[in-house]
Amino acid sequence: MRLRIKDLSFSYDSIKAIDNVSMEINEGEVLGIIGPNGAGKSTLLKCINSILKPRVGTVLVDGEDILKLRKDEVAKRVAMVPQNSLTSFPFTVLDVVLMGRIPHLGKLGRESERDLKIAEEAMRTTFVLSLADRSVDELSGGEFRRVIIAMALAQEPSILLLDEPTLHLDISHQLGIMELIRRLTAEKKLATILVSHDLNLAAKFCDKLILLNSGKIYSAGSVEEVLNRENIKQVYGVEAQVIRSNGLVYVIPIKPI
Amino acid sequence: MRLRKPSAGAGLLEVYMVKRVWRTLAILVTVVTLFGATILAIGVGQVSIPPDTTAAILLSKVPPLNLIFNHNWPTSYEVIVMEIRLPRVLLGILVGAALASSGAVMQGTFKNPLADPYVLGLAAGAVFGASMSMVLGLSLGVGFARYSTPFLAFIFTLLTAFLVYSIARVGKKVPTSTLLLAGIAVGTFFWAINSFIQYLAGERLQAVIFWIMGGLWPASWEDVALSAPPIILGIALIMLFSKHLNAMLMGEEVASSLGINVDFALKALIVLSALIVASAVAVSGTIGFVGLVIPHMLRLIVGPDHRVLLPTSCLFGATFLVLADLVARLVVAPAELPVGIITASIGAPFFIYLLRTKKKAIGLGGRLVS
Repeated sequence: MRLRIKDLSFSYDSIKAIDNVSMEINEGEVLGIIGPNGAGKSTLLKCINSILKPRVGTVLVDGEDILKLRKDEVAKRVAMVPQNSLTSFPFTVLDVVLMGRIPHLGKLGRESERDLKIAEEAMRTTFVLSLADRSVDELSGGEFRRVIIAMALAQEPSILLLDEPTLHLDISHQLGIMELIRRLTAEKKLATILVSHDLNLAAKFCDKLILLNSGKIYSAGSVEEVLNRENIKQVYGVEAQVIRSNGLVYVIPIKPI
Repeated sequence: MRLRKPSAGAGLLEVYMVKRVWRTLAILVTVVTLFGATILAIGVGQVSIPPDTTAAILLSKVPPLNLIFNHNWPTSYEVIVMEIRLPRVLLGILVGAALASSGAVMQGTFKNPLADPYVLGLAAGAVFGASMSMVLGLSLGVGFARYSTPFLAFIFTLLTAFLVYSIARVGKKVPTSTLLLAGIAVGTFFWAINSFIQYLAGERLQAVIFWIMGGLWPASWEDVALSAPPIILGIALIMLFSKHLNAMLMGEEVASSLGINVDFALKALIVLSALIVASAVAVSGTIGFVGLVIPHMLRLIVGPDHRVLLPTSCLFGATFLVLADLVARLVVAPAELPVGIITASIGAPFFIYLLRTKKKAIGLGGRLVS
């Protein structure tokens, strides 16, 4: 078991954002976290990444409780592709991908040839190697997202977290990014967790889904188990049609209740 | 640095090595430039001393080398170099380095190309402290009266930083947007009091105005000795945060997920920056534009990576201020201008040029990618 989360709870001031969540993921698996706005999806990712420190619960990566580790040690095990990245300064693609090596660098922050090899490999697998010398603020949304994924890979993590990786991308780039995530998860033996609002993409590319509502797991399991009319009605408050064909599940929202 | 595009098929290693060579070269060039500016500024003045003599006098003070140099120069040269011009040039180096590196840090921390060393209202606080001494006659007492103005300027710069920081703090976090606003608010308040003090100042007004314009003319070895330790230590510690600053420019979430304690880095950078600015202001007044323009200039040449941006900004800021001070001494000799007039009159047109032509390189052409 790559990642095992047990009885995790987290509160912002007095509001309970994550309420007693437990889950397990194997290597090579992609887990999708879905749920309405404010359900605690991003908060959950931040807890797994130890950016937020939950008071209750454990997050075990390969058996090790990362909530007890130093931040740079966490970053060697868990990488995150956040929803927002700001790029107003003209770093090159290579500069940014090399930042993924920061948790592995010494105090003076100089990269070795090994760091460079790892960055090169990360850029090759995400198809951004040819962009190495380009300034990141000149890239398209899809290219930029792949650069950030390359940066995350350069951390050499065993857990990859992605917060809405397909946000603001066109359908071709949405599929491209999701296929990339699937392939990387298999090749690098990652345990991947992604948060998505796109139920159909999540259904197509995730092995398992967790439906979060008000910080609690409302439903968890295979795509077919989680995505049904009743769950969508109860959690999203939306009347939807759920179509199953060729082993895939499609959700067509009809109207709010 | 993107001085040349790599040829097709060039390996990543090659691209990287070319970049690293350029970076090393950039640092070397700034070191050499600073050395040259130092020799020039020490040599030029009402009594002009040839560069080789200047260099020889300086080197003759360095223990293993002093045996090589024969003292074949007039004693007056040595007095001018050692007692008058060297401390002034050293002070220029310290203040220039402090302002330029804290400018680079503030622009990085706030992800805002308009940030400068005084962004937290520090200039207003410094002037308030200095006015208390110069106009209201607040003094450290017999024997220390000479240090009253720098001491009060130093204290009030730090107090302002502390005040702005406390106002901006929300729980354990210090959001940069709140910091900027708090800095503007506190600064405005202090400027109002400063104006009131100046209104009352009478014949002492000129001293205050000169102080606000900034200058290096009271330079003595004591000023150098007082300001050197905090400035050198502060800059050295700031440089340890280079990679943190780089990652923080990509957004706090990215930095945080790279294992960086963003809250701590932010606080440390603000505290260190306030410390070096306070030390610089105490001995030189509020010299403008060095901290704003020099980091932008270097960002154009060496790129946004703080591991090279910070050392080059610091060295070139020093060079710039030493040369600006030289101009300030020469243009209306035997009188001299406040160096702030020179830095602003060179800095502002250059900044306008940057705005018109290189928006992107200084971080104004960016966008939020989400």
